[in-house]
Amino acid sequence: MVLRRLALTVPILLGTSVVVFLILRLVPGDPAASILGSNATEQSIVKVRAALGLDLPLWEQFGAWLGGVARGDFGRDYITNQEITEQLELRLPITVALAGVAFLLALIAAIPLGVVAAVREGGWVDRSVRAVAVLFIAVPDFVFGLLGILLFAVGLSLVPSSGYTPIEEGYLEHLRSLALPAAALSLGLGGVLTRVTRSAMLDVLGSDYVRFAKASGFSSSSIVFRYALRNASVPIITVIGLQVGYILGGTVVIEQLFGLPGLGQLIVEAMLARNYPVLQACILVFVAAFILVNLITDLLYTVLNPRLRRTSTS
Amino acid sequence: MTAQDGASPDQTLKTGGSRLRNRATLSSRIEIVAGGFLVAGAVIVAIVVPMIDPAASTAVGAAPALLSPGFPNLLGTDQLGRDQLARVAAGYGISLTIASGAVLISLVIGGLLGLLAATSKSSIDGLIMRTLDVVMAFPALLFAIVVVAIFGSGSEVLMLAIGIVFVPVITRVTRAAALETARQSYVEAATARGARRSRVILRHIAPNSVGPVLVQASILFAVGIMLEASLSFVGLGVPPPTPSLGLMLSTARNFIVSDPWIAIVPAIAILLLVLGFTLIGDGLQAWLDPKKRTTAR
Amino acid sequence: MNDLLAVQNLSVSYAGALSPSIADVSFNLEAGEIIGVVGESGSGKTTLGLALLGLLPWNASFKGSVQFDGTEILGASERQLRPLRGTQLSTIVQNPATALNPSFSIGSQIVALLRRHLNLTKTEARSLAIDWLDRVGISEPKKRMNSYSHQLSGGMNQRVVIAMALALSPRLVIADEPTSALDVTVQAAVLGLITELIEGSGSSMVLVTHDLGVIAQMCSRVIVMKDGRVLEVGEVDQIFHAPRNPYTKHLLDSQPSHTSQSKPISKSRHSEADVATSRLSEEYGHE
Repeated sequence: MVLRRLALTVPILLGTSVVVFLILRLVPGDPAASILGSNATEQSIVKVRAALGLDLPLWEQFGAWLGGVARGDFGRDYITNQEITEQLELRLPITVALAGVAFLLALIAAIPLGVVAAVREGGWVDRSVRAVAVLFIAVPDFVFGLLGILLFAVGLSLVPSSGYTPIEEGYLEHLRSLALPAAALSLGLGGVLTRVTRSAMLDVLGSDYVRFAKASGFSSSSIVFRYALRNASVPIITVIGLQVGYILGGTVVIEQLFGLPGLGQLIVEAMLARNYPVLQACILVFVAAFILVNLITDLLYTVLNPRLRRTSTS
Repeated sequence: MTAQDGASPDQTLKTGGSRLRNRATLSSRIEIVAGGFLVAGAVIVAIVVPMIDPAASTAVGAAPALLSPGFPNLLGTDQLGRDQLARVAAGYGISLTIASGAVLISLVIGGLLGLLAATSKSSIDGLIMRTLDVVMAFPALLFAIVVVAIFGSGSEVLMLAIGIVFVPVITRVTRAAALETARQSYVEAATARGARRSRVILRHIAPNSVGPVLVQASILFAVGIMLEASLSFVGLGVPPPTPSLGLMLSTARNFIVSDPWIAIVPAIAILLLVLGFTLIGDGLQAWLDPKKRTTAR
Repeated sequence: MNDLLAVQNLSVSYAGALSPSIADVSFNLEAGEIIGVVGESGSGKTTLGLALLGLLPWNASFKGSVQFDGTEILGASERQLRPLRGTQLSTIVQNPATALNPSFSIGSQIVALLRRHLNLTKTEARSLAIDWLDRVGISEPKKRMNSYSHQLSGGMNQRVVIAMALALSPRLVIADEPTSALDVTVQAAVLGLITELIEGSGSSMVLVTHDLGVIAQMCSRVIVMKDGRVLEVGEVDQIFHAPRNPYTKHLLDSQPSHTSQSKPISKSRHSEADVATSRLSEEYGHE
């Protein structure tokens, strides 16, 4: 089962890298010409093309690029000629920190709220949780971010309105610089998670085996937390896998809003500067991360839902 | 008829009886109506306001800059003295146009692909689904960025980009609904009578698959508007000076200290529009697929 | 009163229903008795079972009283009912596959039950669980501890449920159609198991079913229900051979002839071969 999932991942990785690779090749304009500028001569263009390997057949270029990536070499920036890998190394931790904190915030808040809403179905707690969840889902992250800046940074001066402080310069400052961005990023996921948790728990709590457990004398709290949550976790994890995609995309916007020098901001800069190799590399990293997360959730699935395991124990 | 209006005790126990059922339909109707109001309001604003003064959204210096809401600029002015209401209206127009285009593209392509996948042999089905897997491996915003990178920015490109992002979801939903319908006996009967596959699809399968697709479409409207706003916010959307809500928010960032209204106005504007579509989607889902639940206390 | 269970004027209605699910039901049960409740679907017998366990859903309103050994069950809080559940009062369900949590092995569920009510270590509970699996006739019990409900046949799942219902020696077992969802070939063996265990432990049972043959085999008294009301209560012998109510006659007549005429036997008398065959089909009929 595990092997099968891994095996399915490979063609997807391959397919996505083809698509990403094609960005550079499908973009209008000649990379060599844009590097050299408008005064380039015919000769120098040809030379640069050869140097960049652009005169080789397409699939060879792809192979070369992919081989480089596998070794950790993402090539060089067209504009500054820096090694892209270095830039990635600098910026990746920031984006990971941002996404990670946002994810944790959402998880910690949403799941308990969803459980409570399900257990107290129909009550005022349930209705307010649902209303807030809809609000969080329906509002784009950066809108929350902006309003948050207005309230917490400008109004209350609790956190900086932009800029990033790395860990080395102090734990508290680091967290303060991430607090608002991560909170804004977490709201969308939080809203969805709350709803899914609630609906999954409702399904489970109405099931025959929960009723049987009650009849056998288990207390409500032990049923809800130990027993039922395990069953509800399957749909919850599925949704998490999908929503991580939104978080990853959201880092692009949030980093821009808060001036965090992460991968997301790099994508925007690269796009605006037409720095396509950098764009390619960033997108590949994001996509690979997304695929990896989905692989993990798929595997978690089989752990939590015994019906999906191939091996029979009988 | 048995004693309990048709439901056996077991069923009623699971479904919790009519109190919750009635409430579910009522609240879903409220959601659809409320959402409808918001969306309709936005559409009206988008159509009517530009008719009053077509140039107001780009008229630099028409009024003092950074005014708070009041008269005559009902929503205030931005940093170049342009009327915010006019800009919001124009922004609504853009958001709605692009979202509509994207949803339409995805419905056409996704719908066809879904029906095709459901009614073809498994190798074609597999091929379609695997290809869509590749598209789905991209986070939505990033895929849109890729498409914009290749084709440049502009309304049509955005429609296409976001539309393609939506295709896998619509395909899946259509395919699932079609497979479900195809298993019904009346479809088998039709096929057994020798009806052509296309006819079977058109007359039987497609109409019954509409429900879940509609729900999905409303949600996609909301997502589409958010995606367009996000792209404009980072400067990759519709090029200025065409006002997009995302663009307005992006410039507002710089003036937020001196005039909070310049940010609040577009923020609330986009909030209301997306909320409207989300409520409609929620309401439709609750209505079409009533999940009656109870816990045995 | 020596009655273990005393039901008086019990009425239950669901919100929004046209008429009550149960109306004015009264009967008593002594310790060690097995009483049957028979009726067609819609007669309210399932609701009766739930009421006796205190498991009516929140949207059900009720009147009357259900006293278990002097304690009022109807309307009691969870706190009051919990000490009774499992240890004094338990249930065998109609659909065993859904009564077991698909995400946990059956062994862990039995162990959890045992440890909840008895003060046992994990090892002790495990070995007791294996003992019980053996007692209910599951072969290779040690191995089966790690199985999941979807890997077992209906008959085996029901045996597990029976084990869980009886492991704590409850005084009253409510069994709601315990064999209806099982293969015909397996029903007899499972019924035999229930009879053997119940009689062996001296527990009482309320056996709800639509199958008169089952009643004939196991019960000393029977209640006939229709549309939520009790039509007749009496000794099985008397009801079967001299029914007073025309509906009861109608029920008897609509059963396959050999069951309506058979004498009620309190112990199942099946040949060894029968039991063995049905056991085999249970174990190999699935997966």
